[in-house]
Amino acid sequence: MNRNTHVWLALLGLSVASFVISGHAVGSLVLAAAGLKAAMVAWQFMELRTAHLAWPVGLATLLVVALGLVYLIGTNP
Amino acid sequence: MTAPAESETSAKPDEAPSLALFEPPGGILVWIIVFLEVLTFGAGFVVFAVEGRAHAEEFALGRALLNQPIALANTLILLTGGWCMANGIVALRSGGEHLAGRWIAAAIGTGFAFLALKGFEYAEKLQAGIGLGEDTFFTLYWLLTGVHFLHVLAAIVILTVIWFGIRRGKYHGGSFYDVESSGIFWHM
Repeated sequence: MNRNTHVWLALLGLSVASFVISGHAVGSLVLAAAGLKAAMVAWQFMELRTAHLAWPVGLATLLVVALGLVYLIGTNP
Repeated sequence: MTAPAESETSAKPDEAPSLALFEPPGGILVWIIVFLEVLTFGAGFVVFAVEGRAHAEEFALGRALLNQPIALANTLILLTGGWCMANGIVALRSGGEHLAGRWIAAAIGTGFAFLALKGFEYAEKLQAGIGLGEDTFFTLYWLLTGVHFLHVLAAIVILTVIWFGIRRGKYHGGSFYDVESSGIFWHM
């Protein structure tokens, strides 16, 4: 199996795990899984691993800010 | 689109060459689109979270009306499409045009499967009388999923053009820059 297949299988596993835990209202874990999946797709399938460091850092920053805001808005009283 | 010739000839099959700051994989233009889409969807999710706090009961009811198994199936389908596209690019870089064509055709197939399932989900909602103006939850649902639906539709059109390009010999082991750009758009 090549690296793409390893990542694909991991992504499928994470998606099924998110589906299972979402029924138990563990929002922070679902958000973390979503962020991890986006990072894996960008790193392997979109080949950001081969790009200048600024690109993965920029994308990761955007993801962390967006998911962080969603988490903070959803959990803070 | 024009490609830096050196990057096309020195690429390893399973890995694009290391690129300079202004030459990310697939070209800078498609990455600008990616960042704009991440910003748009990120803002959409933040608005969703804010409105969810303001209308907690309405959003709980709305969530209960979503078809979760279809959502999971569509996620798995799109991830599989991404895997197919990534393998197609690896095959093309290795000079395997026929194999690349098959992988990309499979990716297009997953796109149609996504649209069919999403269409079924939309039909369910419309039959239940749940339209764009139902409430805040479903207004955001239609807008966010609708934009994603259009993105997948556009990506299918682009991949179909790429597939024909491979069949006609336009794209091959020495010319795959447009295929990489299309792949980035597809994965987004």
